[in-house]
Amino acid sequence: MNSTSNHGSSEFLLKVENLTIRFGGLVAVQNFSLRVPARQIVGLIGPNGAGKTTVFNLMTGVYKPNQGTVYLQETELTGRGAHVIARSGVARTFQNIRLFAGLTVLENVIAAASWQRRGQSVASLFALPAVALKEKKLLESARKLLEFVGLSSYENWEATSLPYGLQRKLEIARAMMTNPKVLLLDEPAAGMNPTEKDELAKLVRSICDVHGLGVLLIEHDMKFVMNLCANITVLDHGEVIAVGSPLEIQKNPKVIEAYLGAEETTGEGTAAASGQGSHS
Amino acid sequence: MTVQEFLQYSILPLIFFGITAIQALGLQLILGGAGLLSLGHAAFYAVGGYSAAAFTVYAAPALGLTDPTLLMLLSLVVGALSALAAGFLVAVPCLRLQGDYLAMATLGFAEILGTALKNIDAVGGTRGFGNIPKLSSLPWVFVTLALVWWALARFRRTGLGMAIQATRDDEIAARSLGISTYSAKLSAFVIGSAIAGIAGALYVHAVQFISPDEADFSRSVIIVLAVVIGGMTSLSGSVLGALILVVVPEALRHNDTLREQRMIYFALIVIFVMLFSPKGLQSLFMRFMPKAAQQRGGTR
Repeated sequence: MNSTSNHGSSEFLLKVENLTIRFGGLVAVQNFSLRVPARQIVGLIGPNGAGKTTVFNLMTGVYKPNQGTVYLQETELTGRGAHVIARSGVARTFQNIRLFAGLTVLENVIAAASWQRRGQSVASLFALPAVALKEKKLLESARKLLEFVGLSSYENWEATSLPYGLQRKLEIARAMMTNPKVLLLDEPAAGMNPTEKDELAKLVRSICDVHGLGVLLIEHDMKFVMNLCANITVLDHGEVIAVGSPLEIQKNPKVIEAYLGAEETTGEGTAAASGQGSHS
Repeated sequence: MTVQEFLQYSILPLIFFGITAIQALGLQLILGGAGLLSLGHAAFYAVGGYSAAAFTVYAAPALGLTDPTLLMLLSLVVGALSALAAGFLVAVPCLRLQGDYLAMATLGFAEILGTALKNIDAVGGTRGFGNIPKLSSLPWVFVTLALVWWALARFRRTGLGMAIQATRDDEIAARSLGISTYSAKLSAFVIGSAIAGIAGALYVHAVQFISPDEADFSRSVIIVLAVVIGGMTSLSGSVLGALILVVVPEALRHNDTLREQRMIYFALIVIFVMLFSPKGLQSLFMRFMPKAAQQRGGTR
């Protein structure tokens, strides 16, 4: 990881300005702006269908925005191919887990280093000494990442045979194998029990503190988000309705309205409200 | 039939088995490795065969090359490179598109190639290309088969090999990890085609003859069957599939009715495999193997 100076809040890793995308007549995301500093966890929340995952897809090149810009430090990423953006240092996980089903746990992580090994395939086919050292280092860092997320003992398992929570952790390890500067996590705690969520929170925390990454997090579990994030952006109907610290967000009337809506109390709304209440 | 006669008799079927196995290994990379369907694999094999034959018949005397071993090695290179180039030309426009365009394009390419070869007199036209020097033999075929098998087994662990498998399993995830899925698919396709070209070069110099029928759709189907019956996800499966596809017709040689109906039996085998062991016969055998070997997934 390169050293980003820690003075001043002007030091942003990821800078997103005025992103807009329309699918036919539907404006899915409008004028979305967001900043992710190094060593910080930024939250992106909002009701179902607000456009959170679309924002991730815009930032990672799955969709091309109609308007707006995405910068990683000084590099403009707007409209570049997904693999180019990944190589520049933006990694992500997926809401609906996307592991490589035909590969083992370790191979899933190694596969993420494929492009770092390009041009060496002939050499590694014949196990030439020129690449042997590099391959050994790759294997070591893959194993270290598996240890980091607590999957060391599952190395040779088929990736999709892991329990759900562990599959999410494997996605994180795999994403980190690309040596990213910013990590985008799409609902990492979904389907986890409270103990697993606590472990995950620790893990995300150390991704920032130990590895020095900036993390952007989509999550529905309010307790999880409020505990972890320094800064939260709230999205509703494709537009940003609030930005601020967890405390500010909890008190924001627009946010409360977006979650509780016109209907009296939806399940999600009450869960969100109680989560906020018990943890401020 | 004495043992001597039997051995004499088995040489040709064994050569056919080796050639089919090499073809199947090439297609395994495309079909099982990258998840792309090629219905014209035999055409790339024919490209390799014809080019290699044209090289030894026309180019080699002009260049004054006579050493048989050197000639055979060079013709393998010619066969591989020409098939690789043909694969490249077919795949570049198709892989940019989504869906099954590649399957249709490879099918079309095979038809065009067959028709074109029938009309080129320099390579014998419809009569076929004969009088090719006898340069390869059973050992050549089996040594090449072993080398291709070994190389492909190792190739899976290389950066490109991993990228190809990742692309097959999930393109969006692969791209999000910096893998160019287009070049991964293209590489798999051209390497698979080049391997078919190698098989073609071996074939023409063993049998000393090749005809436009070798590019035929039915030949491509045989190779697809070998890969599917044996097991798409494994190299040993493809070799096993090739063995079955060569041995079954051979065993039926003395019974004309059965022999003519062989495609029916292959179809039955395919249905059986799809129903009871979708990962192919190879995985059926794996069930009876010790647990340790299973966990490593055999040759995976």
